[in-house]
Amino acid sequence: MVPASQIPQAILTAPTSVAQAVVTAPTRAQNWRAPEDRKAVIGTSTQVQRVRAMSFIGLATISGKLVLPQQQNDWIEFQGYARAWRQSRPKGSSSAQQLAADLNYLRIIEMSDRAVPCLLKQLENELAVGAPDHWFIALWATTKGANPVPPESQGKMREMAKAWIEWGRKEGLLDAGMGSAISASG
Amino acid sequence: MPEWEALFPHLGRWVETSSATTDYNCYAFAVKDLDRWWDPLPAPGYYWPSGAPLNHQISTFIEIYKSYGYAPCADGALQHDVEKVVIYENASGGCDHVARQLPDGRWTSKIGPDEDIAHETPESLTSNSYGRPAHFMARRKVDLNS
Repeated sequence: MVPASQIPQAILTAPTSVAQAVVTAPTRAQNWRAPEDRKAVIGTSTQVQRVRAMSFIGLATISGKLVLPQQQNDWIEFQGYARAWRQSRPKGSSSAQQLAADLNYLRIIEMSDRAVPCLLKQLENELAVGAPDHWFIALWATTKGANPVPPESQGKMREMAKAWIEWGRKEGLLDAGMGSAISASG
Repeated sequence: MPEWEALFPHLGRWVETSSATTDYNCYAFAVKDLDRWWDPLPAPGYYWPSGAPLNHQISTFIEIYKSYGYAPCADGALQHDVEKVVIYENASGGCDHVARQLPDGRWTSKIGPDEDIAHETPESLTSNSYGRPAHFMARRKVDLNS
């Protein structure tokens, strides 16, 4: 279930049935990776219009059941694990490896390539307000060993984040729209 | 602010001396490197002193701090013109924390990805997490204002 704090304002002012659908939507909804997939799933022109009408908030319904676009769905799943990780990771540890040796962090790695845009967006959000958290092990794992951090930036968390973000942009993995509708804090 | 007393039962009096940051960790903070998170992690991107083995063994940390001019010493007693660090030894014989002595005799620690604190003694942080302060090292002060 999507926490109330994560529900975009646009949904709060939507008809009750829509708002209810958001609140009760499963976190793993229908996968939509391409417009063709959407047509195949939705079928009717009426439903396509509903998708278009709701695209401004990145949400859609099929037969009254809410379906989140894949990236938003991944983002919500990622945020859930990220929040849980911050609560459950070993307190006071100066080892990134120890901090990452946590079930919630491993669940992020388990998201595999779906986690990569979320990790990059999270880095970007955190870098905007300070030093980023330890997302680099997850990035290294989910990108199958990418290493964009230059030697002179090793250990410098903000520079490490910048290197990954720049790499993500070059790879087309950093979607400016993702995470904008749902708070990145947490 | 985390409840540090729950993690460090012998903490006693302490004060927070910085806000939380991941810019550096305790190993770097011990030698006043506030720009890097030191980690013997094989994953690329983290910093670890050149030539040091990629592990948390006590001998590794002693060698690292020797490379910064420190030499083993008997204890954490305050000495004029000398600055000291202490390497904590955990139950497995490894190191998970290093603290630095302040000019007034208290000690200061960076607590993981959280804040820096000043604490009365090295034993203040004796705990299951960090172990006990076991290996003191000293060098002539290089910055008399710190």
